[in-house]
Amino acid sequence: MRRRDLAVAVSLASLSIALGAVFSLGGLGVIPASDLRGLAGSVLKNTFNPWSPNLTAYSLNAVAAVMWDYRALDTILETAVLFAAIAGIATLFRGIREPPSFRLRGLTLVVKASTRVVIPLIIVAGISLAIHGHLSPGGGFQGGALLAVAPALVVTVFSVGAIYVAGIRARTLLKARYLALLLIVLTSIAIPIAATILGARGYVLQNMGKADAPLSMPAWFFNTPLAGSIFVFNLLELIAVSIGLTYCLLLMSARMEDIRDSLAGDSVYE
Amino acid sequence: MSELPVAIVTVVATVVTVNVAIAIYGIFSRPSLIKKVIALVLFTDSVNILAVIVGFRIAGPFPSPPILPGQPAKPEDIGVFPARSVDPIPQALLVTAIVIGLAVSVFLLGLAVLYYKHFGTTDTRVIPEVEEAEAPK
Repeated sequence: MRRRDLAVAVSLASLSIALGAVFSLGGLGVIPASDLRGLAGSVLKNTFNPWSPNLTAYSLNAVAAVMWDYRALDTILETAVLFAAIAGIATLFRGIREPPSFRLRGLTLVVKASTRVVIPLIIVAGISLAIHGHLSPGGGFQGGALLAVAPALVVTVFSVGAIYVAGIRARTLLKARYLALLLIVLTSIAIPIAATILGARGYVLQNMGKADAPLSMPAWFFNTPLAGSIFVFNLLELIAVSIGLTYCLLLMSARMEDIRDSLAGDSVYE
Repeated sequence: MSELPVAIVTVVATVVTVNVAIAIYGIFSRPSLIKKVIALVLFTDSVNILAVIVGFRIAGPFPSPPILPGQPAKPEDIGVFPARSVDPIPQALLVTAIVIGLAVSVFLLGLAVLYYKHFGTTDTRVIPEVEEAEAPK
């Protein structure tokens, strides 16, 4: 046992020394560069640039512009990966019944009262992080992850029953998530469909008008930049992520005997 | 002026290498499934921090986040923005990487919860014994 521990320690130390050598020898980033890469310069120049209407995204936040405009296909596939993980969770926890009675135990009165104050703040902060995702740091995923903290607090402080008492069911959450994902797909093909009807040309995931495809999403909301589909995608991603995480939370905090029952009736374990 | 960013980046890169070693130790050597998941999350986040460092650069007078300041934006703001900001593309790809890491860890935690509720433990050394004891004779 002692010799095994020593071997593990020596191999881990040599691994970290080797990694450090690779970082410093390969110039991967120990000494930061002082000049910008060409692609990054192009993105920064065009992310909000009304004087270059064919390349701009009208988004002040360059990260949001890269995520949902310049490299939007990556983000669509990332949403698909999260969807697949949540579908996997739904399959693993299939057949779990709702608890027959919603007994609320929870923590002490002090914790409950302060949680009641904090939860609206969390919800407002999450939503504002998402709908200002193209103007300031933030975005749909960040806002959704923050919003999902509110049900996690409710489950911890009150109990899972409080979520059921509020009228939220796992099945409804899954349906709302499917709806948000469907709307993401519809938003990404809205411009080609409209262009086909109007007899023009349009591209999938197109945001602003291009030289050969004149249709574009709304760029301005009165005098505030709206960034077209970036705003819509952020909003829908907020809904999809927060509801998906709440759904996982609800399934994982199911009562032990309910999960035992659903496992007992399962032919996989026979 | 440029010594402080170099020092910070060197320290962070060192921490990343040490974190990667600790995370690999946790994944391969710790018996608890929950600790394996925690180590995997640590590994993901260490590599993410490394990618942030790759996107960092020294810019005058100080490197700014890739968010255009001032609204409504003026042409001179847009002109000076690429000279000051750090690289936005690693950060945007990182958000993708974080979401995929979250998806993986959510799925693994669901598996770990089911393991615990079926076997009564998350210790990988104990699970085969429980399986043998439960098997029909």
